[in-house]
Amino acid sequence: MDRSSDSQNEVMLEVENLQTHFFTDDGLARAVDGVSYSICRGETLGVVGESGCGKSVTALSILRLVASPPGRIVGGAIRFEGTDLLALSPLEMQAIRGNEISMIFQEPMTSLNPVLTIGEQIGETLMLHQGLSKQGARDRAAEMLDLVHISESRKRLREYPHHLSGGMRQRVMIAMALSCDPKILIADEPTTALDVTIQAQILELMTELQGRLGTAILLITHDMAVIAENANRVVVMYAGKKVEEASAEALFARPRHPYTAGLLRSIPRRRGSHRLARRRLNEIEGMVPSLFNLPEGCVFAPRCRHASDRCRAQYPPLEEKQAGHWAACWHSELVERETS
Amino acid sequence: MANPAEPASQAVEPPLLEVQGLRKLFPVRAGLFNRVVGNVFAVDGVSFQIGRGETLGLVGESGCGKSTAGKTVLKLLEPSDGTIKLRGRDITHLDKLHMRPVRREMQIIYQDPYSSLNPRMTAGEIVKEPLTIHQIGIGRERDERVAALFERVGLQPRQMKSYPHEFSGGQRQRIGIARALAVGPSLIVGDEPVSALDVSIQAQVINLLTDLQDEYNLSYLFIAHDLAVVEHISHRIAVMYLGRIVEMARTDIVFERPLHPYSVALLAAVPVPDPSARRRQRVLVSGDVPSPVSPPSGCHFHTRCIYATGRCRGEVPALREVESGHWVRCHLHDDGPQFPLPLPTST
Repeated sequence: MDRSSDSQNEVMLEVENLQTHFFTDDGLARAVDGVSYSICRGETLGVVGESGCGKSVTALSILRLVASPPGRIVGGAIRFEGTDLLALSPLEMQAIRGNEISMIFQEPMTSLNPVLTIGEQIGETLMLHQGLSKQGARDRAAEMLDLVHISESRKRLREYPHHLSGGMRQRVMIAMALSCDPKILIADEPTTALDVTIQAQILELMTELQGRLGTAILLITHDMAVIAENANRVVVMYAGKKVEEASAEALFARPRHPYTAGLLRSIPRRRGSHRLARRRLNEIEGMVPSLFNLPEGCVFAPRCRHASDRCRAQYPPLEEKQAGHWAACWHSELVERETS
Repeated sequence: MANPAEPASQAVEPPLLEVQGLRKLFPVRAGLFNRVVGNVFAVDGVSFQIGRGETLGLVGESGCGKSTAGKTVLKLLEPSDGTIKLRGRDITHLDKLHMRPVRREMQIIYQDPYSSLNPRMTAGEIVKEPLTIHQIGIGRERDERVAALFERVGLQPRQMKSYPHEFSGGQRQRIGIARALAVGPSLIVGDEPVSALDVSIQAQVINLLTDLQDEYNLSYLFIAHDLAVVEHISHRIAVMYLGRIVEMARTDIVFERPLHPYSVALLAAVPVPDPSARRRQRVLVSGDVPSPVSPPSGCHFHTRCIYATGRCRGEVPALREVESGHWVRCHLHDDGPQFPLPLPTST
């Protein structure tokens, strides 16, 4: 905690120009098309975007969990503490996965093994990665359940996933993911399947554990409000590309990409008084394009009110529009003027 | 005595929909002979009314019975008890045949446009089907009406020949809306109608629903778990917890002056899309919603409520109008509304 200022900028993970493509019967889908971002120690990087934008595929690529075929990482680099993960052997990768970098998913039921007890599942990871004895793993597993505020941890160790509620399962997933003290936790829509009061509990738990353990969190979600409350920095993805990156404050106050600006305008917000007439929401027209049939030039141009001929012809470079604030848009100054 | 199912003002015209003491129980079966060992009160004495052109938002977390309530109101599920009145007419016990003309007035839009549209029918056939069933128009007229509906909901009439899988999620929801509109209903129950949609598409569908309401003076029972969406779309809100309405009032009152501890906790948990608004206390309830199979005694919320007393464990509080138009089911407000509730001391 006291050294947070100088360790804060230590880059833990660097994704550079990542390209993950899917070779399907319907053609080539560039699910991730040249995405770069980095995560520093102890920070939460939010990655936000709609279905098919490539936010989850990027995360799966980091752990090299993309199903192949049809998927393949065809370019770029993923460096974890300086080591290129893409160059590691499967065995070396296994030592990283679940140990140095771990992941929690949206639906805990599908990622927990239904025929193993909670204790066995957490213990398995600990015996594999940390070389603990059976008893040692059990003790540590109980400790982990205490950490995620599951009561009667010793008794819970003997239970099966189906005995637990959705919120409890997600706690178990977090306990499992954190049991080996990972440096990075990838959370892919960790609360999307949960009720809002449980979502608040889980997000608070993640923040608390991050403060205690210094874990860097990659938080992937479609929910702008969840991003606003939990991320330090935010990457916005659209159709396989990173279109904007900034600190959470800057992104919400002054978005520079028309897609981000449109998303922020389209979410219903609290009004001061409801006696006021109900207003229409601002829409982003059209729909997310199919990855098999992307337009020329800027992929957002067909839905963008600022689009010009240049946008339709040429993909805009990702530029640093202001210190730490990047956007890929030819007309970002128009967007900024509009929102400020 | 005031009653939540009674119109607030002495209007001459009865409210479009009036639900009184609605209950829906499902038998719980177990054992070798699949015997009924108990009942789940999915909906346990729910009363509300919806006026013409009004939206009532029904909110609550999974298992609270809001979807079951919506389906029971439409008699897609048989009510176990209570009454449902449409324009003052009791429809609770109408059989299938007599329900048919009533169904023209009450339609439903589902959450998942993927599973609620028949994949073997073209979009045009799907929207036309209710016209055929209710014998509205003939041949050409029907096709013209379907084409007009397509245009009204933002689809191209040439897409009438396409199949559901050829549409995106947002477009499929538009097909569902067109089908619901086809027979000219006055009440539409929306069961999480925008929950499965991407953020940028959600706004389009919400706007379509509010535009249609203004245009046709439609009434909506809007069931959803997303409070930001419900707040935007609803005139009044009813909060449900384990089968019962715990609070009901005009939208601004529920959001600005929530009185039930569960509503307070629910609203506090909703994240706000503004990084500068952080560090509020978000978690006001611990634990999970108890199983509806064996709900807690007394007030269902007492197991998670920081204000609970012995009385709450033993005595079910009544849904009472504690101030004008503001209904709350909580013993805390027996001697008049207490707002704000004293915040728990943070530890």
